[in-house]
Amino acid sequence: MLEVLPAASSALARELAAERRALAGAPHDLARATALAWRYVEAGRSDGDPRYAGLAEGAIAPWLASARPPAEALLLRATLRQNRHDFAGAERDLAALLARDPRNAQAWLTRAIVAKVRGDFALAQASCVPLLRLADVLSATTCLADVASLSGRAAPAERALAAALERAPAAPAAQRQWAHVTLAEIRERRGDARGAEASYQAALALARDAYTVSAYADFLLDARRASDALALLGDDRRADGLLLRRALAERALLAPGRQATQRELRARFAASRLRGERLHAGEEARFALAFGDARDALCLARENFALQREPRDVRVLLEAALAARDARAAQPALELLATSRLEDARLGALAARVRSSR
Amino acid sequence: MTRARWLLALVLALGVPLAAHAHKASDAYLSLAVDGANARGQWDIALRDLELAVGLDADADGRIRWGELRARRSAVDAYALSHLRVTAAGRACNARVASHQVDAHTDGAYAVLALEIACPDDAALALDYDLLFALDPQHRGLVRVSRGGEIASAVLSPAQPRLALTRSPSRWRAFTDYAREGIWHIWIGFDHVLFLLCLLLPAVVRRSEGRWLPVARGRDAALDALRVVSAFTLSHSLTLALAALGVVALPSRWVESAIAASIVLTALDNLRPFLPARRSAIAFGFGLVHGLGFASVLAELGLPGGARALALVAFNLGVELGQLAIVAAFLPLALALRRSALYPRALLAGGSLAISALASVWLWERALGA
Repeated sequence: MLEVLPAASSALARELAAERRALAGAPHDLARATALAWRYVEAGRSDGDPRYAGLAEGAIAPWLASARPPAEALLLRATLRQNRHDFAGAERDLAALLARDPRNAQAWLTRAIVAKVRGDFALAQASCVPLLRLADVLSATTCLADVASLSGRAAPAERALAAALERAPAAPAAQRQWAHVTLAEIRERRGDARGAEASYQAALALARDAYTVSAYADFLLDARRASDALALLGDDRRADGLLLRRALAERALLAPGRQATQRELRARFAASRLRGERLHAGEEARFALAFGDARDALCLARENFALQREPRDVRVLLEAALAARDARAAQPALELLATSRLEDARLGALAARVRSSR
Repeated sequence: MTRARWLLALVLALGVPLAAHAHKASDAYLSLAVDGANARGQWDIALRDLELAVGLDADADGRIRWGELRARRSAVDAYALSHLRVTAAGRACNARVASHQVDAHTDGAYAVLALEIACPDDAALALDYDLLFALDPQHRGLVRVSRGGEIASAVLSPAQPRLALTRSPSRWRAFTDYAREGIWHIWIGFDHVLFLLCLLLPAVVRRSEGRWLPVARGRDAALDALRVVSAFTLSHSLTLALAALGVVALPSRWVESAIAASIVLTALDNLRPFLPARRSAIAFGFGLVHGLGFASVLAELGLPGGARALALVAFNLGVELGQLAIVAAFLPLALALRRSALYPRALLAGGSLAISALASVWLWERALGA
């Protein structure tokens, strides 16, 4: 045998193939094409495989080629661009879409997320507000609380989000899961380890996805609970992000096979670079910080920070600057902390060390 | 918007799912080594991508086996080759898949197609690549082309589907290469050097009443040498061009034997003139045969398709330069020694005798294939 096809079940693969053939028979059917594209997006999510994002784009490519792509195609492309870290492209699509259809809740939400990732908290908040009218209370609250917690209002944000969760016990699992993870992150930043862990576990009880597992694994690694982190990660080595956390945990435990994991990650980063992409610059910076050269780590962290400015991006830039003894390189991170009034116990301590090393 | 879609948006909003924590997006690896108008290459395409494009999993069990891949081999080849267009100065090259293998990459098994590409000539090469783009616009063709020690690489995408190579090696480079080969060939081609010496040895003396006397004025001797060398050059350039361009083709054994014979005859003529012609006429006549000999060397080197005439001229020029160097080294020496009593006897007679003996051996070997 040469290859096991990746679809979690070949039933899904057969279904997708059948839909693709149906689309080939009706190449002008936009509804069919977007339905297939969303299914690919979904399959990519459950499988963690970026090939599905390409297939989703392929399904709607004919409409994207037109001068004025239909709204459905724009929304899909914005989502795919966000996933490829083409944030500027995603924002353009969303702005065009919202100008045409200001009641598109999904577009507002996606725009809020993109703006938050880029560190534009004012735009993020402005994009969450319409959700109060257009979506459910829990989703709108989660969106707003997330942004507020990053811009100097962590305590009220935590209270509001916890209350919203309590008031919506019957909300769909995906919405509750998102709220729990957001709450866990807010609590972690505020130094409430016990509360954060309870929220991470509540989120994982609803659904196990790569984002939550990564965030919880980072929490456990910071708490020097590497064996718990390893247990959480399980056997899945496919996603690079999870493999990075595994490498860090194995190093802490001096586990056998840790070199093989490092080699594998290095090969994957190299393969991604061959494509001319740097989707993983933040994770690569963490990898270099742990297993490589501090100067390389700093380069990668700066490259990453130019694109993404979430707390984890601030952190890796501060750590890399400290390791490379180049405090000035950390300046953009220090500025973000100052202007956003981001509250994060660990980041505050790191920033103080950077400032005192100048 | 459906409820399911909204939930999906929430899940996606978490930022995880696709590329950020990916296995790997679709890539194919194409490497080519270009040699003149031909190229060999290797094209690694993921089995998963081929499954998508042409269908490999015949029994639909989610697994691809050797037999399944083998059964779809011609479909794979046809699909791959129809999405790679290689052109030389706009003219299509012919590509074929010589063999199949399978190799492992970080994200799974890949079919490895061994490519053989033949172009009409070695003019500016270009690749137009659109494998999988229609299905997956995020597919990338990672291309690497090596040619004459130079390496070009590119990441081909729907936005940038073409890799155009500049003409390389440069025309100037080809010119100097062929000129160097020409010089080299006359220097290591012992038979041409000896023939030239046989022609030049009598240039500084003249025969009078059965005896060799030194030419009184050096200028006359130099002019005589110039006439002889020019005649030789003219005739061998003529046949070199005719043979290199394929107008004349003679078996190399005949040519090589005739070259040896021309040396024997010219050397013997130095001992006691018997050839019924002037020296320059002899040089011209035998030069025709030597030109055919040069052409066989050039045939081994191969003429670059896009610059045949240029390479031919360069090679010829190199031959003349090499020849000029020999003349420049020999003639002053001969002029200085021409009044010595030793010159006619030791150098002219002795040298010619030795050369004719050696060339007779060559003639024997070449004619009989011994």
